[in-house]
Amino acid sequence: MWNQIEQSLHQSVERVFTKVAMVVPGILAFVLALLVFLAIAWLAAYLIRWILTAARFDDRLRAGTSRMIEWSPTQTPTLLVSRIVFWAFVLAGVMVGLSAFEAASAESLFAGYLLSYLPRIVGAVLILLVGNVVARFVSRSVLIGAVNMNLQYARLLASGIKWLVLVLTGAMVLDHLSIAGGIVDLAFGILFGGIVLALALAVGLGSRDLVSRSLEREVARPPESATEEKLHHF
Amino acid sequence: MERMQAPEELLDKKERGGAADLLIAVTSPVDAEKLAGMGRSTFEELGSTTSGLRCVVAYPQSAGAPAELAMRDETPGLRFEPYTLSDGPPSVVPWLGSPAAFRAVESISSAVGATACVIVSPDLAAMDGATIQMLVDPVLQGRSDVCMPVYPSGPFDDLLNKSILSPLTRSLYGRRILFPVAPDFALSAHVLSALADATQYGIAGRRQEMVWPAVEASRVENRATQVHVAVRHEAQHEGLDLTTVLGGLLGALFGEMEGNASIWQRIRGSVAVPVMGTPAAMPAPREPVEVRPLLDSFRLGALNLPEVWSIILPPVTLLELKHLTRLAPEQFRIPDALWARIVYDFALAYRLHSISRSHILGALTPLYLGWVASYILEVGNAGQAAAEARLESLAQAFEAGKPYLLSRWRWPDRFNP
Repeated sequence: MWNQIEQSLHQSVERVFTKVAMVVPGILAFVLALLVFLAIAWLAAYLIRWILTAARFDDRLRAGTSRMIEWSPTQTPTLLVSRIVFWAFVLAGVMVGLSAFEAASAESLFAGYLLSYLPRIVGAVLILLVGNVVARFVSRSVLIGAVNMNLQYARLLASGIKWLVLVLTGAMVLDHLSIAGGIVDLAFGILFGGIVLALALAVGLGSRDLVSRSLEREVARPPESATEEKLHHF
Repeated sequence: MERMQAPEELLDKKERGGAADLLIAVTSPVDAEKLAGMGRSTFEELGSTTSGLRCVVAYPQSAGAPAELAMRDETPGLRFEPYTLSDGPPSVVPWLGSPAAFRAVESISSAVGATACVIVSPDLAAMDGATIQMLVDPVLQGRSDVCMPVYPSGPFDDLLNKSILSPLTRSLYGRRILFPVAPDFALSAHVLSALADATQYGIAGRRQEMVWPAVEASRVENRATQVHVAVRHEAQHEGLDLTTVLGGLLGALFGEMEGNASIWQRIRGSVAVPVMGTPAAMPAPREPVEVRPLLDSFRLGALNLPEVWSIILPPVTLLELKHLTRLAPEQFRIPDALWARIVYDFALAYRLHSISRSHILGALTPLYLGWVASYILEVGNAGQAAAEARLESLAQAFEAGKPYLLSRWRWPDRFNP
């Protein structure tokens, strides 16, 4: 009996070691591919930065009417481009590493699935990033525009716009990842429609007095425009 | 890229039409019939004092405009020269010409060999013999390279110029020019050429969005003059939004600051620019202005835009603004030093791209309206002399605050009070 148990344990340990021995080359191949691509990414980003600096890329963009600067306010366009190049190479390294892992290991199902799913993840991350940037930009534009139009509910309007864009982005991300597509579509429709309905109800019922006062102010505005007429700003 | 006339074409025009002493140019779309009539009467008035004057009137020819004025002109010594307004970047504000229009005017000036050029606003308010004579005389007589107008301006007129454009230009470039962004001015041929080059090739690699004759006068140490003119551009603000104009003009000026940083950083203090002529009659005094809507706009901005302002302004300034929002309307005053620092901080944020530039310029409007309210509360019915003294003290505050701008410009991360 004891011998049988010992033999069984030996076989189990042997199987574990065999499995590990089969996976280790794959992991090593993955790490090696990633390291090589990291080095290439660093080199490529350095080269791009050097070339763009030499070509005075930032100055040229500023001299023109490029909108790129508007979307990357705190970073220089050169830095932005070099970072994009760097992360593109890192991403390529991950994909090549996964292929190497798949080739080196006998169990290819997981790696194959992950590899086929990776472009979706990358796309989803990009949608999330762009959606976030757009939400912040649009929200700030609406806030400043509404304040300059003397709208009392400027902040509410800006927040509403921001959340609408974020909800839309979230739905797009989930749809892109093919996570519960039908439910997401339905939930998004309900949520989006709900927000619009809630706003309509809030304006129609809850904030009726606020809206009335706001409209009354708008109607009683002539004295204000008379003030503007007395002033010549330019 | 705009269509520029070929040198052969221009040479042909010069040979055909002859050279000219004076070029009068309109740089924005204009009523051609009205221009023809006013151009002739102006030339006759000029001709009565200057014998043998040869003059070219250049104007942008818009689609569907009447036939060439040149074909119908029969006045000896006067010629109308149309040019094509290209599809380049539009002008910052409608009454100031686009850079492309300016380059086209410069091409005509070079072709006809004009000694002086007068730019007039498209409303043609300055298109009369006396005004053109006043503007162009210092240039034609070789006493000046740039001649800027001084318009009759009441205490509550031209507030954007009085609050920012004039004191900032004076502080930066050290010349006390009262209307640095005027739609009418006169230039010598070489300054016109330098300005056209600045719009074509840029300064320090940065192409100019707008033509700044007053800045150019300081930049290359040209001789500048100012003359009193009895001109009022009443209609130029109609249909224009304050935020759009403020953003357009200040965006162009802040952009100009980037290109000219090496020049204005060396300048300290300011020198007077001679003013010639006698002041024109001031417009009738206006009734006292109600400041409550202006204060409401400022307070609405303070309530809703603190996170935007906190990216642009340092903590000390934010604290002072917060304090201002708590004051009663009659006590509301924005100190000159604070206003100068606010304008400098916005210029710096524009340079650093702290956030989107359109957001930076948009966030300035409530602060500007707050300054207007403060100014009205201070000046009130005190009269023209008091208003001028008040604006002189503001300009001095801008000059006194220039070291702050320099410190933040050179070390934006290190110096942040």
